[in-house]
Amino acid sequence: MQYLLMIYSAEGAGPAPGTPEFGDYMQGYFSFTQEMKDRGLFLAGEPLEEVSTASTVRVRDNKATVTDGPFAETKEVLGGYYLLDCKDLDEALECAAKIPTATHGSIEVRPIMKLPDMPE
Amino acid sequence: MMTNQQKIEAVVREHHGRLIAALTGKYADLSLAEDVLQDAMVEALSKWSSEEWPPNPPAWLMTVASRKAIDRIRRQNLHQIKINQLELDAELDRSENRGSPLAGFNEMDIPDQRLQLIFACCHPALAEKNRTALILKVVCGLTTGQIAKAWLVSETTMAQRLVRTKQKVAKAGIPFSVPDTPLLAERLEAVLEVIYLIFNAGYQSSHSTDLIDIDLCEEAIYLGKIVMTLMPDQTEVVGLVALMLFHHARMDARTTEKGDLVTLSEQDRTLWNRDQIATADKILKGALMKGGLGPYQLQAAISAVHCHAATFEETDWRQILLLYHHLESFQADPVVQVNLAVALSFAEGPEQGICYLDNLPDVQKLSQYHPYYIARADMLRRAGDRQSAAAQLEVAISLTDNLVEEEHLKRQLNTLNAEMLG
Repeated sequence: MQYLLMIYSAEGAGPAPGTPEFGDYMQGYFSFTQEMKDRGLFLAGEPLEEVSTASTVRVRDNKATVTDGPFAETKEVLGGYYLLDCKDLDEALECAAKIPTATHGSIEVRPIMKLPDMPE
Repeated sequence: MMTNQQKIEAVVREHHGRLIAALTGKYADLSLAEDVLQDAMVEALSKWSSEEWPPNPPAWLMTVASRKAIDRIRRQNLHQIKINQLELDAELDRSENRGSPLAGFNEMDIPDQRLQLIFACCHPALAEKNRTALILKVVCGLTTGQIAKAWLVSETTMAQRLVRTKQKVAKAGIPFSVPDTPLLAERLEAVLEVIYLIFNAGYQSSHSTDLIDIDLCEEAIYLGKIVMTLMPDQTEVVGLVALMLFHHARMDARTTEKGDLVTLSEQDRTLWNRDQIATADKILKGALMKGGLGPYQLQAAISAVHCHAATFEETDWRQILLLYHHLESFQADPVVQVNLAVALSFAEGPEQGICYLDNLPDVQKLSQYHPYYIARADMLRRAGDRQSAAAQLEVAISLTDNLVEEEHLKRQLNTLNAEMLG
């Protein structure tokens, strides 16, 4: 099964760039990604730019409007994701717990919806 | 005299967990398993009669349900369930009727996958209230209506909750398996928690038992026994079953015929179920001998001491105090702390009990826990301070949401007030 692991945290909550802790933190991500690849679970995974770079699009009455930034004030923002191919939820949860941000943020684990096969 | 339908329902109920588990194991779909077992029961209603009863009823149900499952899978053409066509054909071959519609299934061995089902139902990714509902439905075979009544919600609400929970199990990929070693301890704890939650819901239910035709305590004991039988080396499971049996043995003495609460000190001990206490003793001893002490075994041991005291006055409070000290090292929560204080007050005097509570570092955690005030009130009364005792009882009354208990506390308060006037 495929799972999307969404990494949420309050901006500025993790180790600050330039500190020794930040180095360890990033190293944690490199090792995690490598482990996912070695175990054959990794499908995709990237960090996102900060939430201030976000744009929000809505289409109403056939007209697209774009607004700056996030559309809702939330404490924790999406900072990155992994798309993994796991045996079951337990494996996905085990991986999620290894993501370095899990120690100060949270990881939402969502199964990818399986659409019925298209007729040939 | 049971009607044919009642007899069939009883068979289905008795084997429900095992059949649902085996069908879920086979077709990886809990909802499908439930549907086809229902179908098989409907078919049984038309095929079984007192003259023609299948020699092996669960095997008959399993075979017919399997055939219904294959029919449904074929009909719905569910691509995501990849069952090899050959496997399906072989399955059909095996389940083909040979001669009489009731014979031919005797040799069938239904695999026991109830543990897998129980672990799936108690998965931490499900909300607690959904875990209890699901396990009662699929393992115990209760109806949605029965579960709704027990939890005081409408049948529609409960039906929706069950549908959503089953969808989550299926869509989130909650495994149908017993977890491996690193996860097992934690997940088993979750299973035991769900079972004990069901037991306590039954034990403390404040509504009249006339309203409910099921005994949640018995359902919890049934679940506990399944896990105990299938995981005999897990001594905490055994401890939980013993604990539930000790509590259950005293059930009849806990309330008067009117439904009023009777505290341990006032209970008629001849009403305690001695057979059940003996059974609990035996299994608890077995667990304690194996080692691996844990909180459920300790609580069971405390219950055992109470059960063996001929009168309240003869209770071995020193032994109970010792056991609570052990228990506190496992879980220093309000329940344990208040009970420890009570044991201390009987072993060494009410002042010692009050002193222990007053010196707890996190006493504010107890401020919303009404047994704390009940315990304090009793200790204060025994220490001769009726005025303060009454004040504590009033706080307890304002905090409890259990009607039976509220009545009981009000009676205590009246007695106390009368004593002060007299």
